[in-house]
Amino acid sequence: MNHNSAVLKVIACNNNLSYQDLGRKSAQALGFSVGGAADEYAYCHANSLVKNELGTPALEITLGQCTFEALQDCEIAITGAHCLPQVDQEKANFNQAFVLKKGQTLTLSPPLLGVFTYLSIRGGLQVKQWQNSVTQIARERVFGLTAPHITDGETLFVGTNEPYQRASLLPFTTANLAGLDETITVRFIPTTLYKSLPLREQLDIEQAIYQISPNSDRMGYRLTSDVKVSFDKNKNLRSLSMPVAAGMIQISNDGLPIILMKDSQTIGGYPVLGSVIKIDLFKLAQLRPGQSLKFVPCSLQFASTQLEMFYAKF
Amino acid sequence: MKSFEYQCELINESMFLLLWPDVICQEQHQYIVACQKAIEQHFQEQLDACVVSFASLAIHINIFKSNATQITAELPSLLSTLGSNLSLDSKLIEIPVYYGSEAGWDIRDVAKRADISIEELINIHSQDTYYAYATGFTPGFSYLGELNQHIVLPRKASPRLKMPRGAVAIADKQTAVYPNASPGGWHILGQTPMSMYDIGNDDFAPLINVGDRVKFYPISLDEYKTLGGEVSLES
Repeated sequence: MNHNSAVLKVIACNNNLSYQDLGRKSAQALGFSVGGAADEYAYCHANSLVKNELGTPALEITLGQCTFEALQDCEIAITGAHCLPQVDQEKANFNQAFVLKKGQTLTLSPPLLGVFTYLSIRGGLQVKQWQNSVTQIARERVFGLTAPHITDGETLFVGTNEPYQRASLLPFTTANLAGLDETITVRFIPTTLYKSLPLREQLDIEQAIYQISPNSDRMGYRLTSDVKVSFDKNKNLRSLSMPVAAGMIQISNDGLPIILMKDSQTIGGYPVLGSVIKIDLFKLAQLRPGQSLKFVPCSLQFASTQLEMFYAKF
Repeated sequence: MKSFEYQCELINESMFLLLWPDVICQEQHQYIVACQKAIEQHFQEQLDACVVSFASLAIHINIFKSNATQITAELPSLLSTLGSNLSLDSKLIEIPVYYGSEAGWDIRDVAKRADISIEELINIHSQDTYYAYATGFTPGFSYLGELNQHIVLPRKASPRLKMPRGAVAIADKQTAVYPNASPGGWHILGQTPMSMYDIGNDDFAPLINVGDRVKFYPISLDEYKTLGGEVSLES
């Protein structure tokens, strides 16, 4: 790697940094998780602020608390969970690009709201790819196929990507994290199994308030609630494991949902009620244990249109 | 090739499932693998991946290049042309297993619950040729079936935090080898010194691919050690 491309040094972190992009979608048949930025909304925004193309590698920071030193002048953007960024102890920009000068120190504090923060550098981070993605998945570290886990003292390198001019000038708001401290509404595409439940049970699910359980991570968010789902004698229930994907709402043996997140397995055996639409999953990912949500069904057509409009902004 | 009827279930913005009758059936499964190959070949970069399971196939769409409407519209005619001369590239893989009770942490318990001797249990597990129905749980983990009904047991009520790398285990109608140390709720019958994957040139090559056949054969502790094995003891 070109020595001059060294851009940031990790002075201190909490083992809470990973390189992310839109995920490794091609290795699922081999059993590799997809991974990718948990909150694509914030991740894509960070890249667009520094004129990086959609999918450029950025840094995902879980719950703040890290310090970097700039090894050269660079233009960066910080988005997602608000970590009160400071440059040499002075308040720095958030959701807005700025220049970090060589020798300056960038400090991120624990966010008050949300989980994941993104740091993007103009030119993109230069990171080892595997199967067209840099995403790092904790339980797949053992294979050594992706860049090593980032620890204190690590040097980050900047790429030489040309500034990318967005074709679209659609407005983008940073309001994705608004309302996280209240009950958020999450739209989902119901499965045949869900539609076969008695209407009373569907209503119970749609009226329930679910809370994120502490037993949640990038593989899946477990939910708790008074409403338990059972599939007694349901002829649409299948017993053999099927391929799964992020966003799926599985019902585990205790009748409570698990929402599969980006680092989920590729095959699963629990019954599935539906899939959270992707643009809502980006927001849901920012919920912390104890925070709450409600489900409302929507059509696949609606979800697809929304997602197309989302990516068109970048 | 005999064809099997499927149903299509749209899952999310980038994925749909093809579902076949919910049974473990090798003939049906070979048809599903043939469908997967045909779909991958036909749609190429319009897809991110095709994932096979026991009686289902997931089509993950590259949403920047295609969409479900386009792909599902072309499927019936594509799959109707699956020829009878379609040959599956299937290997037979033989896996050595040391079934000694210090390696087979649960072998005594399983024999007792199945009401057979340990020797009979080893014979039963190693006499059949298994078929690889799916890859999942972790890379290199292959679900092999079907197990002789005499030794079918449900998973353990509480999984072990650490199954050893190379653990040869059973649960329900399946058997498998754990590619790396990981949590797991299966019953361990023995350990193999054979690696379940090979990493070279940045490529991940699993030993067993979906559609392959697998046979286990018993080896002695000396043979196990000669093959580079090191028994992981239960801690």
